Amino acid sequence: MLRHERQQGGNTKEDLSAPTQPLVQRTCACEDEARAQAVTGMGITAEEEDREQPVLQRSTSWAGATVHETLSPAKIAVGTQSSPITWEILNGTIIRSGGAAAAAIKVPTLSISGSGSSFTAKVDSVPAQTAGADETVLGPGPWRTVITKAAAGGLTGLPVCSGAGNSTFRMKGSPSDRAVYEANRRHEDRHVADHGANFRAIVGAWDTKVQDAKNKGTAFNGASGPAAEAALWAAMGGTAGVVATRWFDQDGISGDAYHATAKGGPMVHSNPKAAADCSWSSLDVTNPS
Amino acid sequence: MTPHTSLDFETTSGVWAHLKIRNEGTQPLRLHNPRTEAPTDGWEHSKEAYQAAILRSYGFLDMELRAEGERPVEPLPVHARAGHFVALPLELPPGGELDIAVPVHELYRLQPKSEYDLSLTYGDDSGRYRAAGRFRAPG
Repeated sequence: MLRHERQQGGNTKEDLSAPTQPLVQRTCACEDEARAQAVTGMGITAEEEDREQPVLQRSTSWAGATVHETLSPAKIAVGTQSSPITWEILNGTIIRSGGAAAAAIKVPTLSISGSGSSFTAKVDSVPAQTAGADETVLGPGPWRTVITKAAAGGLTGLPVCSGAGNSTFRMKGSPSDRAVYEANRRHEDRHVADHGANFRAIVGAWDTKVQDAKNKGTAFNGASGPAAEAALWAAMGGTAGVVATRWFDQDGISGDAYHATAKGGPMVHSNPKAAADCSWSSLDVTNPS
Repeated sequence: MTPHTSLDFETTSGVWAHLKIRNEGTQPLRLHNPRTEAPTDGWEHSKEAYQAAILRSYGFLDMELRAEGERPVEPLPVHARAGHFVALPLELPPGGELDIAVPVHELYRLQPKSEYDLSLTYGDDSGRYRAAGRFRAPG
């Protein structure tokens, strides 16, 4: 069960001690405006849950995904666009590496006191962490691009596509452009859901421990200031940077696990065709999602 | 005729494994196409590491690395993450060879001067090809 608190100022607070459920908040140019609201894996809007659930103080929030429907599989095939991808966002920064995650997470402040060989570290403040996803997917078809006949020959393997001149290359969705467009979105939405669940399970759980240590004034001792600080972070499960990197790495593992399933598999080209003079050429593309 | 597979190593700059599949038959051999898209923005490794990561993510390349006589070595967290389009099957002509280069040093933390056993399996349900070999990590 997810619990949400709508704070003053509009931040969403969640109960990270609860089992994870994907919360996918879409910010998109959706035809159906209803899709743009926050929806839990159980189909309950966050606002409905806000009214029902008790409050637990939290400082992490999941903002959902920003979606860019900008890609064409025809342009990806010829190398002028990149593949669909869903990156993490942490505190406003798009995260493309573990190092970037470590740099983007806000670090709690500590107070360290002591002298000689007796030092104490306590959590002084716990900053809010806002995460989300940046999703770049296929736009709606039709998908065409003009390429050289030689390039069309490279893609289709058809001997008629060679020599000088251009070919209008089309990637045709099978069974339809719309089906492939929607399937790609479902695929990337699954990555968004995994990123959110991993954020709650890793960064959220860590944040809960740090917040708890602050609330209780828990003291962590060491023979030096750095030793006391190290004891504190060890008890939390790692420093902020370590935890952010762990989240990013786990998202990669989750992505590979999804890709290994039948529905999470790759898009596949098939059925090469071309005009007798290669003035046009095409491939079909399927998506199993 | 079954194609010939081999695994060669190059250790002059890191450790590169070359999985080679050679068509020793008289007819073209259809293989899973290893072509991958360009690495995504911010990719911190080589384009060959991106290819290996994509193929591994979608189940077309299986790698197992063992330190000599020990359990498998855990791979580093190198994940390509992006979507992938499988190109039309590759047709390898008689006598033709496919060489898939894998930068082992980017995918695993290797101990200098240690010996490792690596096995690579490449392909899809229409045909999977395996080769194994041993290398010593540079000092």
